[in-house]
Amino acid sequence: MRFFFHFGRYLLLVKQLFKRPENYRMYWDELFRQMVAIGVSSLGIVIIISVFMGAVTTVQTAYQLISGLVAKTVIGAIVSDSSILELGPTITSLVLAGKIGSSIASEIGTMRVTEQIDALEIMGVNAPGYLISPKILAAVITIPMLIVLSISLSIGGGIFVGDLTGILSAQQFIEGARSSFLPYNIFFALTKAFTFAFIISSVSAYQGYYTSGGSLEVGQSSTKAVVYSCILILLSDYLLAQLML
Amino acid sequence: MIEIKNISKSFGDKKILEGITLSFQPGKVNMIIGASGSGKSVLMKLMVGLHLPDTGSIEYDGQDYVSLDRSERSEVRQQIGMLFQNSALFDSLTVEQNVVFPLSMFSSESQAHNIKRVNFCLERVGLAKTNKLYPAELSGGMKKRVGIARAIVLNPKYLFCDEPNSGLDPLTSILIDELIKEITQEYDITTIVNSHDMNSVMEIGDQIAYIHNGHKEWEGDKATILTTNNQLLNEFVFATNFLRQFRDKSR
Repeated sequence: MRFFFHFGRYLLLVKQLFKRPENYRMYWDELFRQMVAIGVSSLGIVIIISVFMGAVTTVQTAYQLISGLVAKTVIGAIVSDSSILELGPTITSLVLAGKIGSSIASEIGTMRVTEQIDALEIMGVNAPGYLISPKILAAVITIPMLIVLSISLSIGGGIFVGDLTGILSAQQFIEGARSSFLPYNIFFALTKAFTFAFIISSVSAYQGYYTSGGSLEVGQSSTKAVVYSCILILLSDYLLAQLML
Repeated sequence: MIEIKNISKSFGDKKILEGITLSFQPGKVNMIIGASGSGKSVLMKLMVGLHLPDTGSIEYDGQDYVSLDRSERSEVRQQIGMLFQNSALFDSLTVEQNVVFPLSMFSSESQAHNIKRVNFCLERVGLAKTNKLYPAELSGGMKKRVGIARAIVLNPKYLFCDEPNSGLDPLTSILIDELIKEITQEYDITTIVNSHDMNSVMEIGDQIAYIHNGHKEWEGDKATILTTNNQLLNEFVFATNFLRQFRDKSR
């Protein structure tokens, strides 16, 4: 029953996001602030995890495929396909759920317990619209960009480490990657990116918006935002794979 | 003028307010007093529309707020200014950005015009040249004054103050009280103040309503509050030995 209560309340909150803004310029300014907070500030962590993800996948794939019967280019094909289909979109989104999700939930949760959201509502501002819509829109714009970057860097990390350690040359890696490349996989990766971006931002905003109590509850909301976002990312990852592949 | 008629509110099984009827006059400071947990904060939240009552009506100049649709409520809300107990300033914005926020959201005037109005309001509350400071850099009293500046920036017809003196030293409390009184008279605002600070009540209260356990127990002015025979109100007003001795001596 609690699931249906939260799901219903979540849908009602999402419905409020589509109401007409009181002032487009204010929402527009807020959207750009959020794009910086969500997108630009996550660049560092995305770059680090992506390069290492590609590098480690290359080393481990080579470890499992050491055989004279398998061409080395297969390593490039496996690493690039894994990066596009799973590692780039899913692992990056799970990391971003931790970084962005907790930040959104704690920011909105703190505004709730310190009556800042009440202040907005009393002014006549649609508080969910002003606080949450720009965050969701910013996430849906910037997270797919981060994921495209992550895929590229993961493949780049694989090429670099493969060449550096002598597992396979950069040319062999690229040859393998090109031989297995399907443009549809990029479409699939971007579909996952948009879905995960919406899940991270909306679930975290929901957890923050309905925080009640004090600083302890803000922390709990932040933890719940990360946990539920991760579970929903994995669940939707499976569903999308089942539906689209 | 605000009139509330037969307001009741429960949360779950717990009855918070029952059958409250009050009217609040423009140009006057209307105090709602009562012990912690008596329901006065819930009453204020009902009046500003943060909650809806289970029964009864809340009329702003004869217009029942409860029966209005969302856009009509938004219009009424733009005539309301509110000072929160903890000021509720937006942490990520400067003083200037906090005060200009309602203007930028609802006014079609230029930014330069809006900033002029912000400077006027900040000067009015004695905080000129604090525009670029963040809430974290302000004292409790300064936050309250910024809260008042933000509340009056849209020239509201109604001003709500929830525990304006909480957490303030006596001198700053007096300053805030005087500011509320002056602004009420200057702009002919209907001001409603929630408080359990009797100094405040005696300094600025024109009309006083005493709420006890969710019921309106007493209503009157500050001249009669000291002489009333209402036992519950007497226990609240003369809660300290000092005040009881003062009352007994003056009799």
